[in-house]
Amino acid sequence: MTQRFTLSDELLSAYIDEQLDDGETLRVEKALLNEPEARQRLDDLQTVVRLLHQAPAAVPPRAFTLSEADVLAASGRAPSFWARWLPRLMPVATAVVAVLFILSIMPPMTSKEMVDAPPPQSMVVEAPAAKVIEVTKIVEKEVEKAMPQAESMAAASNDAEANPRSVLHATAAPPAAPAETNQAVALSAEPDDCDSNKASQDDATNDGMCLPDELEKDLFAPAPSTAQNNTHQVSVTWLLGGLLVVLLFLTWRITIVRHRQR
Amino acid sequence: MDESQLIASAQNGDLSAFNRLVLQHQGVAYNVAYRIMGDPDRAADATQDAFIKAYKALSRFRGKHFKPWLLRIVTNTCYDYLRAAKRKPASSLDDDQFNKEHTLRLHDPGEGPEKRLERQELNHVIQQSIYRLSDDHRAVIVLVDIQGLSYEDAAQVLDISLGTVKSRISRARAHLRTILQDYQELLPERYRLSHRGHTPSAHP
Repeated sequence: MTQRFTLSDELLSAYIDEQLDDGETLRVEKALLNEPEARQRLDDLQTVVRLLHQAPAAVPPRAFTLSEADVLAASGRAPSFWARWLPRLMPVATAVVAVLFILSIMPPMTSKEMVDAPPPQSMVVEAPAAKVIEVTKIVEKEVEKAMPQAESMAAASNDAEANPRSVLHATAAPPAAPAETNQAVALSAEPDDCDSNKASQDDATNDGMCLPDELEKDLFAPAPSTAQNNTHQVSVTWLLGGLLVVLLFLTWRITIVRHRQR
Repeated sequence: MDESQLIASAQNGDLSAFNRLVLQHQGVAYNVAYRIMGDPDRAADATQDAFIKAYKALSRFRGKHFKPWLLRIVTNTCYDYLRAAKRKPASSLDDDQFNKEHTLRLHDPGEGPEKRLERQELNHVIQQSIYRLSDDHRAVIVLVDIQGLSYEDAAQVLDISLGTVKSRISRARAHLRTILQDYQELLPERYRLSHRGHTPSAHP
Protein backbone atom coordinates (compact mmCIF):
# COMPACT_ATOMS: atom_id res chain seq x y z
CA MET A 1 0.00 0.00 0.00
CA THR A 2 1.45 3.40 -1.02
CA GLN A 3 0.92 6.58 1.04
CA ARG A 4 -0.47 9.59 -0.84
CA PHE A 5 2.21 12.30 -1.32
CA THR A 6 0.76 15.75 -0.47
CA LEU A 7 1.95 18.52 -2.78
CA SER A 8 1.83 21.56 -0.55
CA ASP A 9 2.59 25.07 -1.80
CA GLU A 10 5.80 25.00 0.23
CA LEU A 11 6.94 21.88 -1.54
CA LEU A 12 5.99 23.31 -4.93
CA SER A 13 7.77 26.54 -4.16
CA ALA A 14 10.92 24.71 -3.16
CA TYR A 15 10.58 22.60 -6.31
CA ILE A 16 10.48 25.80 -8.43
CA ASP A 17 13.62 27.08 -6.75
CA GLU A 18 15.35 23.71 -7.04
CA GLN A 19 15.74 23.49 -3.29
CA LEU A 20 14.72 19.82 -3.09
CA ASP A 21 17.10 16.91 -3.14
CA ASP A 22 16.94 14.37 -5.94
CA GLY A 23 14.59 11.98 -4.13
CA GLU A 24 12.10 14.73 -3.24
CA THR A 25 12.23 16.13 -6.77
CA LEU A 26 11.41 12.73 -8.24
CA ARG A 27 8.48 12.21 -5.89
CA VAL A 28 7.08 15.68 -6.66
CA GLU A 29 7.31 15.09 -10.39
CA LYS A 30 5.54 11.74 -10.08
CA ALA A 31 2.79 13.24 -7.98
CA LEU A 32 2.28 16.11 -10.41
CA LEU A 33 1.55 13.60 -13.17
CA ASN A 34 -1.37 12.24 -11.21
CA GLU A 35 -2.67 15.54 -9.75
CA PRO A 36 -3.86 18.06 -12.35
CA GLU A 37 -4.96 20.45 -9.58
CA ALA A 38 -1.46 20.49 -8.14
CA ARG A 39 -0.09 20.93 -11.65
CA GLN A 40 -2.25 24.04 -12.07
CA ARG A 41 -1.12 25.45 -8.74
CA LEU A 42 2.44 24.90 -9.78
CA ASP A 43 1.79 26.73 -13.06
CA ASP A 44 0.33 29.70 -11.21
CA LEU A 45 3.23 29.85 -8.75
CA GLN A 46 5.66 29.74 -11.64
CA THR A 47 3.77 32.61 -13.30
CA VAL A 48 4.03 34.63 -10.11
CA VAL A 49 7.75 33.99 -9.89
CA ARG A 50 8.24 34.81 -13.57
CA LEU A 51 6.30 38.03 -13.14
CA LEU A 52 8.41 39.05 -10.16
CA HIS A 53 11.56 38.31 -12.10
CA GLN A 54 10.33 40.78 -14.69
CA ALA A 55 10.01 43.59 -12.20
CA PRO A 56 12.00 46.46 -13.71
CA ALA A 57 14.93 47.75 -11.72
CA ALA A 58 14.62 51.26 -10.37
CA VAL A 59 17.49 53.65 -10.97
CA PRO A 60 18.74 55.28 -7.77
CA PRO A 61 17.77 58.96 -7.84
CA ARG A 62 21.21 59.98 -6.63
CA ALA A 63 24.56 58.62 -5.56
CA PHE A 64 24.61 57.56 -1.92
CA THR A 65 28.32 58.15 -1.40
CA LEU A 66 29.28 59.71 1.90
CA SER A 67 31.02 63.03 2.40
CA GLU A 68 33.41 63.98 5.18
CA ALA A 69 30.53 65.82 6.82
CA ASP A 70 28.42 62.65 6.76
CA VAL A 71 31.27 60.76 8.37
CA LEU A 72 31.67 63.37 11.09
CA ALA A 73 27.96 63.32 11.76
CA ALA A 74 28.00 59.52 11.76
CA SER A 75 30.85 59.38 14.25
CA GLY A 76 28.28 60.39 16.85
CA ARG A 77 30.75 61.85 19.31
CA ALA A 78 29.24 62.78 22.62
CA PRO A 79 28.68 66.51 23.04
CA SER A 80 31.29 68.34 25.11
CA PHE A 81 30.71 69.57 28.64
CA TRP A 82 30.06 73.12 27.47
CA ALA A 83 27.74 71.99 24.66
CA ARG A 84 25.64 70.17 27.23
CA TRP A 85 25.67 72.68 30.06
CA LEU A 86 26.02 76.07 28.40
CA PRO A 87 22.39 76.21 27.20
CA ARG A 88 21.25 75.48 30.76
CA LEU A 89 23.68 77.77 32.56
CA MET A 90 23.20 80.74 30.27
CA PRO A 91 19.65 81.68 31.37
CA VAL A 92 20.68 81.35 35.03
CA ALA A 93 23.73 83.55 34.53
CA THR A 94 21.61 86.09 32.66
CA ALA A 95 19.06 86.20 35.47
CA VAL A 96 21.78 86.68 38.10
CA VAL A 97 23.42 89.50 36.15
CA ALA A 98 20.01 91.08 35.54
CA VAL A 99 19.31 91.14 39.28
CA LEU A 100 22.74 92.63 40.03
CA PHE A 101 22.20 95.23 37.33
CA ILE A 102 18.84 96.25 38.76
CA LEU A 103 20.36 96.54 42.24
CA SER A 104 23.18 98.67 40.88
CA ILE A 105 20.85 101.18 39.23
CA MET A 106 18.57 101.56 42.25
CA PRO A 107 18.88 105.08 43.84
CA PRO A 108 21.10 105.24 46.97
CA MET A 109 19.52 105.93 50.37
CA THR A 110 18.89 109.55 51.28
CA SER A 111 20.62 111.12 54.28
CA LYS A 112 17.44 110.83 56.32
CA GLU A 113 17.16 107.15 55.51
CA MET A 114 20.78 106.75 56.47
CA VAL A 115 20.16 108.43 59.82
CA ASP A 116 17.11 106.30 60.49
CA ALA A 117 18.77 103.13 59.41
CA PRO A 118 20.88 101.25 61.95
CA PRO A 119 24.58 101.60 61.23
CA PRO A 120 26.20 98.67 59.55
CA GLN A 121 28.28 96.61 61.93
CA SER A 122 31.39 97.08 59.83
CA MET A 123 31.31 100.85 60.31
CA VAL A 124 31.43 100.82 64.12
CA VAL A 125 35.00 99.74 64.74
CA GLU A 126 37.26 98.99 61.84
CA ALA A 127 40.45 98.37 63.84
CA PRO A 128 41.30 94.88 65.04
CA ALA A 129 40.95 94.31 68.78
CA ALA A 130 44.67 93.78 69.42
CA LYS A 131 45.53 97.06 67.79
CA VAL A 132 42.86 98.87 69.76
CA ILE A 133 44.31 97.59 72.99
CA GLU A 134 47.77 98.63 71.92
CA VAL A 135 46.58 102.06 71.02
CA THR A 136 44.76 102.36 74.28
CA LYS A 137 47.92 101.62 76.25
CA ILE A 138 49.92 104.14 74.30
CA VAL A 139 47.26 106.79 74.79
CA GLU A 140 47.18 106.17 78.52
CA LYS A 141 50.93 106.71 78.73
CA GLU A 142 50.71 109.88 76.71
CA VAL A 143 47.93 111.22 78.90
CA GLU A 144 49.95 110.70 82.05
CA LYS A 145 52.85 112.62 80.57
CA ALA A 146 50.83 115.39 79.05
CA MET A 147 48.67 116.38 81.99
CA PRO A 148 50.70 119.56 82.81
CA GLN A 149 50.31 120.78 79.30
CA ALA A 150 46.55 120.33 79.27
CA GLU A 151 45.78 123.92 78.75
CA SER A 152 47.92 124.38 75.74
CA MET A 153 46.57 121.20 74.31
CA ALA A 154 43.00 122.37 74.74
CA ALA A 155 43.53 124.99 72.07
CA ALA A 156 44.38 122.38 69.57
CA SER A 157 41.21 120.42 70.28
CA ASN A 158 39.19 122.71 68.03
CA ASP A 159 41.09 121.49 65.01
CA ALA A 160 40.86 117.86 66.00
CA GLU A 161 37.22 117.50 65.04
CA ALA A 162 38.18 117.66 61.38
CA ASN A 163 40.82 115.00 61.82
CA PRO A 164 39.71 111.37 61.41
CA ARG A 165 42.34 110.23 63.87
CA SER A 166 40.42 111.82 66.65
CA VAL A 167 37.36 109.74 65.88
CA LEU A 168 39.35 106.59 65.90
CA HIS A 169 41.22 107.54 69.06
CA ALA A 170 37.97 108.30 70.72
CA THR A 171 36.49 105.01 69.68
CA ALA A 172 39.55 103.07 70.62
CA ALA A 173 40.08 104.65 74.02
CA PRO A 174 38.28 103.22 77.05
CA PRO A 175 35.74 105.46 78.76
CA ALA A 176 38.17 107.07 81.18
CA ALA A 177 38.29 110.62 82.45
CA PRO A 178 37.29 113.43 80.05
CA ALA A 179 40.84 114.72 80.14
CA GLU A 180 42.01 111.52 78.53
CA THR A 181 39.85 112.10 75.52
CA ASN A 182 41.12 115.64 75.19
CA GLN A 183 44.66 114.41 75.41
CA ALA A 184 44.10 111.81 72.78
CA VAL A 185 42.60 114.38 70.46
CA ALA A 186 45.43 116.78 71.13
CA LEU A 187 48.06 114.13 70.49
CA SER A 188 46.47 113.30 67.20
CA ALA A 189 46.37 116.90 66.16
CA GLU A 190 50.14 117.08 65.88
CA PRO A 191 51.20 114.30 63.54
CA ASP A 192 54.07 116.26 62.05
CA ASP A 193 55.96 116.31 65.33
CA CYS A 194 56.17 112.58 65.24
CA ASP A 195 58.55 112.57 62.33
CA SER A 196 60.92 115.06 63.86
CA ASN A 197 61.02 113.15 67.14
CA LYS A 198 61.40 109.76 65.51
CA ALA A 199 64.76 108.90 67.04
CA SER A 200 63.80 109.85 70.54
CA GLN A 201 60.58 107.83 70.20
CA ASP A 202 62.50 104.68 69.41
CA ASP A 203 64.90 105.14 72.27
CA ALA A 204 62.41 106.14 74.88
CA THR A 205 59.64 103.67 74.02
CA ASN A 206 57.06 106.06 72.70
CA ASP A 207 57.99 108.91 74.95
CA GLY A 208 57.67 111.19 71.96
CA MET A 209 53.86 110.81 72.00
CA CYS A 210 53.63 109.12 68.59
CA LEU A 211 52.28 105.75 67.40
CA PRO A 212 54.38 103.17 65.53
CA ASP A 213 54.39 103.71 61.75
CA GLU A 214 52.61 100.48 60.74
CA LEU A 215 49.92 100.96 63.32
CA GLU A 216 49.43 104.52 62.31
CA LYS A 217 49.14 103.58 58.65
CA ASP A 218 46.55 100.92 59.38
CA LEU A 219 44.46 102.96 61.70
CA PHE A 220 44.49 106.25 59.91
CA ALA A 221 44.23 105.18 56.29
CA PRO A 222 41.95 107.67 54.60
CA ALA A 223 38.47 106.37 53.78
CA PRO A 224 37.40 106.57 50.10
CA SER A 225 35.47 109.66 49.38
CA THR A 226 31.83 109.79 48.28
CA ALA A 227 32.80 110.94 44.78
CA GLN A 228 35.05 107.94 44.40
CA ASN A 229 32.22 105.68 45.53
CA ASN A 230 29.85 107.17 42.99
CA THR A 231 32.36 106.74 40.16
CA HIS A 232 32.94 103.16 41.19
CA GLN A 233 29.20 102.47 41.27
CA VAL A 234 28.67 103.94 37.80
CA SER A 235 31.47 101.78 36.43
CA VAL A 236 29.97 98.66 37.96
CA THR A 237 26.56 99.57 36.54
CA TRP A 238 27.98 100.00 33.05
CA LEU A 239 29.89 96.75 33.35
CA LEU A 240 26.82 94.84 34.49
CA GLY A 241 24.70 96.46 31.78
CA GLY A 242 27.13 95.44 29.05
CA LEU A 243 27.43 91.94 30.45
CA LEU A 244 23.64 91.67 30.60
CA VAL A 245 23.28 92.67 26.94
CA VAL A 246 25.88 90.11 25.87
CA LEU A 247 24.28 87.36 27.94
CA LEU A 248 20.80 88.19 26.63
CA PHE A 249 22.09 88.01 23.05
CA LEU A 250 23.87 84.68 23.63
CA THR A 251 20.83 83.21 25.37
CA TRP A 252 18.64 84.27 22.46
CA ARG A 253 21.03 82.75 19.90
CA ILE A 254 21.32 79.48 21.84
CA THR A 255 17.52 79.26 22.11
CA ILE A 256 17.14 79.79 18.35
CA VAL A 257 19.76 77.16 17.51
CA ARG A 258 18.27 74.59 19.87
CA HIS A 259 14.80 75.27 18.46
CA ARG A 260 16.10 74.66 14.93
CA GLN A 261 17.83 71.45 15.98
CA ARG A 262 14.53 70.09 17.26
CA MET B 1 41.22 46.54 -6.18
CA ASP B 2 38.72 43.81 -5.36
CA GLU B 3 35.91 43.98 -2.85
CA SER B 4 37.84 42.49 0.06
CA GLN B 5 40.64 45.01 -0.43
CA LEU B 6 38.13 47.84 -0.59
CA ILE B 7 36.54 46.61 2.61
CA ALA B 8 39.94 46.41 4.32
CA SER B 9 40.82 49.92 3.18
CA ALA B 10 37.45 51.25 4.27
CA GLN B 11 37.88 49.62 7.67
CA ASN B 12 41.14 51.54 7.98
CA GLY B 13 39.26 54.79 7.45
CA ASP B 14 39.61 55.17 3.68
CA LEU B 15 36.39 56.97 2.78
CA SER B 16 36.99 56.78 -0.96
CA ALA B 17 37.26 52.98 -0.71
CA PHE B 18 33.96 52.86 1.14
CA ASN B 19 32.38 55.11 -1.48
CA ARG B 20 33.50 52.71 -4.17
CA LEU B 21 31.68 49.96 -2.29
CA VAL B 22 28.66 52.25 -2.13
CA LEU B 23 28.71 52.79 -5.87
CA GLN B 24 28.97 49.05 -6.45
CA HIS B 25 26.00 48.18 -4.26
CA GLN B 26 23.78 51.25 -4.25
CA GLY B 27 21.61 49.89 -7.09
CA VAL B 28 20.58 46.73 -5.29
CA ALA B 29 20.35 48.53 -1.98
CA TYR B 30 18.02 51.17 -3.38
CA ASN B 31 15.89 48.61 -5.23
CA VAL B 32 15.43 46.52 -2.10
CA ALA B 33 14.46 49.64 -0.17
CA TYR B 34 12.14 50.82 -2.92
CA ARG B 35 10.32 47.49 -3.15
CA ILE B 36 9.97 47.16 0.61
CA MET B 37 8.99 50.78 1.21
CA GLY B 38 6.95 51.38 -1.92
CA ASP B 39 7.89 55.05 -2.01
CA PRO B 40 10.90 56.27 -4.01
CA ASP B 41 11.73 59.23 -1.78
CA ARG B 42 11.52 57.34 1.48
CA ALA B 43 13.46 54.51 -0.13
CA ALA B 44 16.24 56.95 -1.01
CA ASP B 45 16.30 58.25 2.56
CA ALA B 46 16.39 54.73 3.96
CA THR B 47 19.19 53.77 1.58
CA GLN B 48 21.27 56.77 2.59
CA ASP B 49 20.71 56.01 6.27
CA ALA B 50 21.64 52.39 5.66
CA PHE B 51 24.97 53.36 4.08
CA ILE B 52 25.75 55.66 7.00
CA LYS B 53 24.96 52.83 9.42
CA ALA B 54 27.09 50.50 7.34
CA TYR B 55 30.02 52.89 7.53
CA LYS B 56 29.67 53.10 11.30
CA ALA B 57 29.40 49.32 11.65
CA LEU B 58 32.09 48.45 9.10
CA SER B 59 34.75 47.92 11.75
CA ARG B 60 32.65 45.04 13.10
CA PHE B 61 32.27 43.37 9.70
CA ARG B 62 34.24 40.10 9.78
CA GLY B 63 32.53 38.05 7.06
CA LYS B 64 33.43 37.60 3.43
CA HIS B 65 30.04 38.39 1.89
CA PHE B 66 29.53 42.12 1.94
CA LYS B 67 26.29 42.23 -0.05
CA PRO B 68 24.12 40.17 2.36
CA TRP B 69 25.60 42.09 5.29
CA LEU B 70 24.75 45.40 3.62
CA LEU B 71 21.26 44.27 2.60
CA ARG B 72 20.60 43.24 6.17
CA ILE B 73 21.28 46.80 7.25
CA VAL B 74 19.09 48.08 4.42
CA THR B 75 16.13 45.85 5.31
CA ASN B 76 16.43 46.65 9.02
CA THR B 77 16.48 50.34 8.19
CA CYS B 78 13.40 49.89 6.03
CA TYR B 79 11.66 48.10 8.90
CA ASP B 80 12.51 51.04 11.15
CA TYR B 81 11.02 53.44 8.63
CA LEU B 82 7.89 51.31 8.22
CA ARG B 83 7.42 51.08 11.98
CA ALA B 84 7.80 54.83 12.29
CA ALA B 85 5.29 55.34 9.49
CA LYS B 86 2.80 53.07 11.23
CA ARG B 87 3.18 55.02 14.46
CA LYS B 88 2.63 58.27 12.58
CA PRO B 89 0.53 57.42 9.52
CA ALA B 90 0.74 60.40 7.21
CA SER B 91 -0.19 58.75 3.94
CA SER B 92 -0.78 55.34 2.52
CA LEU B 93 0.53 53.81 -0.62
CA ASP B 94 -1.64 54.87 -3.50
CA ASP B 95 -1.41 55.46 -7.19
CA ASP B 96 0.08 58.91 -6.74
CA GLN B 97 3.24 57.39 -5.34
CA PHE B 98 3.85 55.57 -8.58
CA ASN B 99 3.81 58.71 -10.57
CA LYS B 100 5.08 59.11 -14.05
CA GLU B 101 8.22 60.85 -12.93
CA HIS B 102 9.36 57.83 -11.05
CA THR B 103 8.27 55.18 -13.51
CA LEU B 104 10.42 56.95 -16.08
CA ARG B 105 13.38 56.32 -13.81
CA LEU B 106 12.88 52.57 -14.08
CA HIS B 107 15.81 51.15 -15.84
CA ASP B 108 15.41 49.87 -19.42
CA PRO B 109 17.20 51.91 -22.03
CA GLY B 110 16.30 51.89 -25.70
CA GLU B 111 12.72 50.65 -25.55
CA GLY B 112 9.75 51.90 -27.57
CA PRO B 113 6.79 53.81 -26.14
CA GLU B 114 4.48 50.80 -26.24
CA LYS B 115 6.98 48.62 -24.44
CA ARG B 116 7.64 51.32 -21.91
CA LEU B 117 3.93 51.67 -21.18
CA GLU B 118 3.61 47.93 -20.67
CA ARG B 119 6.61 47.94 -18.36
CA GLN B 120 5.17 50.78 -16.34
CA GLU B 121 1.88 48.95 -15.96
CA LEU B 122 3.70 45.81 -14.94
CA ASN B 123 5.71 47.65 -12.36
CA HIS B 124 2.56 49.25 -11.03
CA VAL B 125 0.85 45.88 -10.59
CA ILE B 126 3.89 44.27 -8.99
CA GLN B 127 4.44 47.07 -6.53
CA GLN B 128 0.76 47.29 -5.59
CA SER B 129 0.62 43.53 -5.10
CA ILE B 130 3.72 43.09 -2.98
CA TYR B 131 2.78 46.08 -0.87
CA ARG B 132 -0.33 44.18 0.18
CA LEU B 133 1.85 41.47 1.71
CA SER B 134 2.99 41.58 5.31
CA ASP B 135 6.38 43.20 5.93
CA ASP B 136 8.09 39.85 6.49
CA HIS B 137 6.62 38.25 3.36
CA ARG B 138 7.37 41.31 1.28
CA ALA B 139 11.01 41.33 2.35
CA VAL B 140 11.58 37.70 1.45
CA ILE B 141 9.81 38.07 -1.91
CA VAL B 142 11.90 41.13 -2.73
CA LEU B 143 15.16 39.42 -1.83
CA VAL B 144 14.56 36.04 -3.43
CA ASP B 145 12.23 36.66 -6.38
CA ILE B 146 13.12 40.23 -7.37
CA GLN B 147 16.78 40.50 -6.39
CA GLY B 148 17.52 36.84 -7.02
CA LEU B 149 19.25 36.03 -3.74
CA SER B 150 19.66 32.40 -2.73
CA TYR B 151 17.73 31.06 0.23
CA GLU B 152 20.95 31.02 2.25
CA ASP B 153 21.70 34.66 1.53
CA ALA B 154 18.10 35.64 2.24
CA ALA B 155 18.29 33.79 5.54
CA GLN B 156 21.47 35.69 6.38
CA VAL B 157 19.99 39.03 5.36
CA LEU B 158 16.79 38.54 7.34
CA ASP B 159 18.54 36.76 10.21
CA ILE B 160 16.16 33.82 10.08
CA SER B 161 16.62 30.10 9.51
CA LEU B 162 16.62 28.45 6.10
CA GLY B 163 13.38 26.64 6.93
CA THR B 164 11.72 29.94 7.78
CA VAL B 165 12.80 31.34 4.44
CA LYS B 166 11.27 28.36 2.64
CA SER B 167 8.07 28.69 4.59
CA ARG B 168 7.79 32.43 4.11
CA ILE B 169 8.57 32.38 0.42
CA SER B 170 5.97 29.75 -0.32
CA ARG B 171 3.30 31.52 1.68
CA ALA B 172 4.16 34.86 0.15
CA ARG B 173 3.96 33.47 -3.38
CA ALA B 174 0.66 31.78 -2.66
CA HIS B 175 -0.70 35.02 -1.26
CA LEU B 176 0.55 36.94 -4.26
CA ARG B 177 -1.15 34.45 -6.54
CA THR B 178 -4.44 35.38 -4.89
CA ILE B 179 -3.71 39.11 -4.96
CA LEU B 180 -2.69 39.13 -8.62
CA GLN B 181 -6.06 37.76 -9.63
CA ASP B 182 -7.41 41.23 -8.83
CA TYR B 183 -5.14 42.66 -11.51
CA GLN B 184 -5.71 40.08 -14.24
CA GLU B 185 -6.97 42.61 -16.78
CA LEU B 186 -3.88 44.80 -16.25
CA LEU B 187 -1.40 41.97 -16.80
CA PRO B 188 -0.03 40.87 -20.15
CA GLU B 189 -1.56 37.59 -21.24
CA ARG B 190 1.54 35.57 -20.46
CA TYR B 191 1.31 36.55 -16.81
CA ARG B 192 -2.38 35.81 -16.34
CA LEU B 193 -3.19 33.11 -13.84
CA SER B 194 -5.01 30.06 -15.03
CA HIS B 195 -7.64 29.90 -12.33
CA ARG B 196 -8.96 31.68 -9.28
CA GLY B 197 -7.38 30.68 -6.01
CA HIS B 198 -8.94 27.56 -4.64
CA THR B 199 -6.20 26.13 -2.48
CA PRO B 200 -6.56 26.47 1.25
CA SER B 201 -2.80 26.53 1.69
CA ALA B 202 -2.53 29.57 -0.55
CA HIS B 203 -3.33 32.00 2.28
CA PRO B 204 -0.91 32.77 5.08
